[in-house]
Amino acid sequence: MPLDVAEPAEIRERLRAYLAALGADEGLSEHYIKEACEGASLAGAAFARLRDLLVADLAKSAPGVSDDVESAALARLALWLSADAATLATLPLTPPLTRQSMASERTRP
Amino acid sequence: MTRETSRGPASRYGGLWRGLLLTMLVLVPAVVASQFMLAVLPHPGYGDLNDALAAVFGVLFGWISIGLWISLAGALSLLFRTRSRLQAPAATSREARVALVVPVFREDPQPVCARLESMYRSLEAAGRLAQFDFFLLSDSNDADAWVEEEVAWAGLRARLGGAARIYYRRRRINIKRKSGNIADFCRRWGLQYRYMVVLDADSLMTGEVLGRLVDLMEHNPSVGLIQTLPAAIHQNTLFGRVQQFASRLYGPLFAAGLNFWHMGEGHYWGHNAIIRVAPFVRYCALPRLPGNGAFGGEIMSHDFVEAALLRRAGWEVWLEPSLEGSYEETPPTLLDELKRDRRWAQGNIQHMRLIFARGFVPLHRAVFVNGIMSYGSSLLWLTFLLLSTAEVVLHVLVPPSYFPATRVLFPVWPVWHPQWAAMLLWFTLAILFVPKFLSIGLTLLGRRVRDFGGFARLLAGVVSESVLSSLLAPVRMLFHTVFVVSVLLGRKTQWGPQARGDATTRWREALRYHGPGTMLAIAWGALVYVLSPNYFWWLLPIMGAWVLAIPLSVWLSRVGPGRAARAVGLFVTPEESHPPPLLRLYQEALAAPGLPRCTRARGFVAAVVDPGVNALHCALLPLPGASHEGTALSRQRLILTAIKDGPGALTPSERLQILSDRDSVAGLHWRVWALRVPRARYWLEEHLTRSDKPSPPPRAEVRR
Repeated sequence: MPLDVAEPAEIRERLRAYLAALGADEGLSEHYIKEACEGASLAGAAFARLRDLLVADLAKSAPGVSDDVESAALARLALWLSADAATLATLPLTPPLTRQSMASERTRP
Repeated sequence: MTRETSRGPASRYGGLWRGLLLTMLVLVPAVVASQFMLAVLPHPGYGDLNDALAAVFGVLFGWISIGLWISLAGALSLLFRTRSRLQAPAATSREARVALVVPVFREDPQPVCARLESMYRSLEAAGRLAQFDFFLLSDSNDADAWVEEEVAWAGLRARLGGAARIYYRRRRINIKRKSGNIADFCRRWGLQYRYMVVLDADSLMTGEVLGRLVDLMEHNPSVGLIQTLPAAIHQNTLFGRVQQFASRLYGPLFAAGLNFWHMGEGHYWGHNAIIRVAPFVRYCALPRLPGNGAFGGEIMSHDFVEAALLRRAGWEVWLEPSLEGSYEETPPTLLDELKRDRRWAQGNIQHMRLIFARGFVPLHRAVFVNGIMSYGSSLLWLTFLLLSTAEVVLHVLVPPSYFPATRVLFPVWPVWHPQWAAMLLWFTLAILFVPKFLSIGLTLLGRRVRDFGGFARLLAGVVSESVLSSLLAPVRMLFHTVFVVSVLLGRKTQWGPQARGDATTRWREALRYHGPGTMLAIAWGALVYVLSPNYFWWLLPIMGAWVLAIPLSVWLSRVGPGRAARAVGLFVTPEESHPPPLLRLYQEALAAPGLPRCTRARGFVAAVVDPGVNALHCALLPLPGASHEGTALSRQRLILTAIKDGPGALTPSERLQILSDRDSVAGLHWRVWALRVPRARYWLEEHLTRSDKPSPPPRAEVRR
C-alpha cells in the first residue's frame, strides 16, 4: 500500500489546503492544482510538480536564483508574505561579511 | 591610536584619589566597628572565637558601609546637580554607523521582536534611524526556539518593510555564551560599525537616548564604553513590583554615587550600553581560563572583565546615570532571581583569578572584589551567626572560670554589655537605611513625589519594601551561601534561559527550594531557645524569615497581590504614572498580529508542516556544502523515522540535525504533505486532511 494519498479528489484537496495555507488566491490555486494534478497518480508526484511550477514561475521574475530548493522557498515566501519574489531574492539576510579576528583572543588578561 | 601607555583623561579626574579616599572611608569604620564588637562580646570569653567574630563583623561592616558612602556621594551629586563629565553638543555628525545587537538564548521571540520594533520606531521618530542597523543574534540550541525566532523576525521585517535593516543570525555552536555571541558579531560585521549598543532580550531604549549615546561617544573620543542606568519596568507580580519600585527609587542615587567614585573607570553591566567597536575587538576578547571546575573555563561574568580590559588599554568606561529612557525587566519571582544569582555567583567568584591580573586599574580590581563580596558576604554573615551561636552555647554549657589565673586576689566576673550590642545593631541598621532616607529626600526636593503616587504612597512603599527586604535578606543570604560553597567545591552551573514575564512559584517548588532552610531554622531556633532564650530573640528576625520563606515566596510570586498593590497606588514607578511613548510603542508592537500560520503547531513541527514557515526556514539556511556519505545516510534515516513514526520519535538533537540541513527540511516538508492518513496525522492537523478517507492504521499501531 502506498504511503501517499492516491485518490485524485484527495490529492486536489490536499493541494488546495497547501496553497490556502500559503495565502494563494482561488484563481491561482486552481491553476496550480490543475497543472500539478495532470498525470499525477500519487500526492508525492503532484507536490513535486507543484514545486517545479513554483520554481519555474520564480525563474521568470528572478532569473538570478538557480538553486531549486531556494527558488521553491522564495516562491512560497513571496506568496506567504504577499511580497514580490524578485525583491525577496535580492534582500540581504545579513550585511556582507567583513571578517576580522578579535586580536586579543590569544592573550591572557 | 596607541593607548597602552596612557590611562586617558579619566585619571585627570582623580579616579585614583577617589579610590583611595573610599578605601579609607571603608577601612577605618570597619576596624573601629571590629574593635567595638570585641568590647561588646562577653569578657572574659573565648579569645579565638571573639577574635573571629570581631574580624567577620568588621568585614561585614566595611561591606555595608560601602553602600553608605556611595549613596552619600550620589546624594551630593544629585543635590548640587553636578554636571556630567561627558558632554556633547546638540548637533553632532551623524555619520557613525551603529549596530544595535540583541543576543538571545531561547527567549520568547515575540516580545524581543516587539522591543526591536518599538526601538526602531522610536529612532525613526527621533530622526536617528539612518545610523542604526539591528541584529538579533541567536544562540538558541533548541529546534522550537530557533524556528519561532525566525518567524518572529520575519514578521517584524514584514511589518517594518523590506528596507528595514534588521538582521537575524543564529550560531550553530554557542561557544563562550553571550560574550562569544557578541565576539562572533564583531568578527563578522564589526568592521562596518563604529559603535555597538549591546542590549539584553528584555532591554528597551528610547531613540533619544540611543542618539544621545552616539553623540557622547562621538564627542568624547577617549571613551570606550558608556553604561546607562536601566529602569525596571513591566512587573506585575508582587515580588517584581517591589524590586521595580526599589530599583527605580534607590537606583539613581547609587548610580550617581558610583559615577562619582569611579569616574572613567566605571561599570559595565553587559547590556543597555554603547561600546566603541574597534578597541573592543582589539582588547576585549576573553580567554578561556585554564583549569577545570567552577574557576576554570569560560569567563561567565564577562561584562566586568571587558570593562577592565578596555580601561587597561587606556579607554574610559563611564556609567552615565543622567540618561533617562533606558529600561529592562527584572526576574518576576524570588526563585527566578535566585536562579539568576546562581550564575552570577559563579561568574563573580571566578573573578578571584583576575583580581591580581596584570595592568588592571585599582578601581576595576575593586569592582571584582565588590562582585565577589556581593555573594561572599552571605557566607560571612552565616559564619557570623554560627560563631555567635557557638559563643552563646559555650557560655551556657561551660561554667565560667572566676579565677582564670593563679595568684589572683579577686574573682573575674563575666561582663557582657547587651545595651552596647543593641547600640551596635541599631547603628548598623541606620547605615543600611540611610540610602532609603536620602532617596526619599531627593525625590521630595526634585518634586518627583507624584511620579511615585504621592508622598503617602511613596512612604508606604518604602516602609513595605523595607519590611519585605528584611524578610527576604536572610533567605537570599542562605541561598547565596549555598551558591558560594558549591562554587568553591567546584560545581559548575548550567546555562539556562532567563525567566521573563509573569511567572508563579508553585507550592511544591517553594517547598523544594525553601524547605531545607525552614527545617534548619526550626532546629537552630529550638536549640538556641532551649539554651539561651534571650539570644533567641536576637536570632528571631533571621530564623523567622527562613520559617516564612515558603509562603512568602509563593505569595510574592503572584500577580494578584501585585495588581492589588498597583490598584491602591503602592509601589508605583514614574514609568507607570507617566508611561513614556516608547512603552506605548512596545505595547502596540506586542499586540500586532504575527504572520499567518496554518497550524497550531509551533517550532520544529511548524517548520516541517507550515508551507510559509518551511519556506522561510529554507531561505535562511545556507547552501549545503559537500557532505560525507555517512552524514547523508544518517539524514535519510532521520527523515524515514520522521515519516514512519512522526515528530515524537525524534530526539531534540535529531530535530536540530534535520533543521540544520536545508535539503532535509525541504524534503521532509514535501513528503509530509503527500502522506495519507493516518501517518499524515502525525504532522498535519485534521482540518488539513479533512477530505481523506479513513485508511488502515500504520503497521506499528496494529502491532501495538
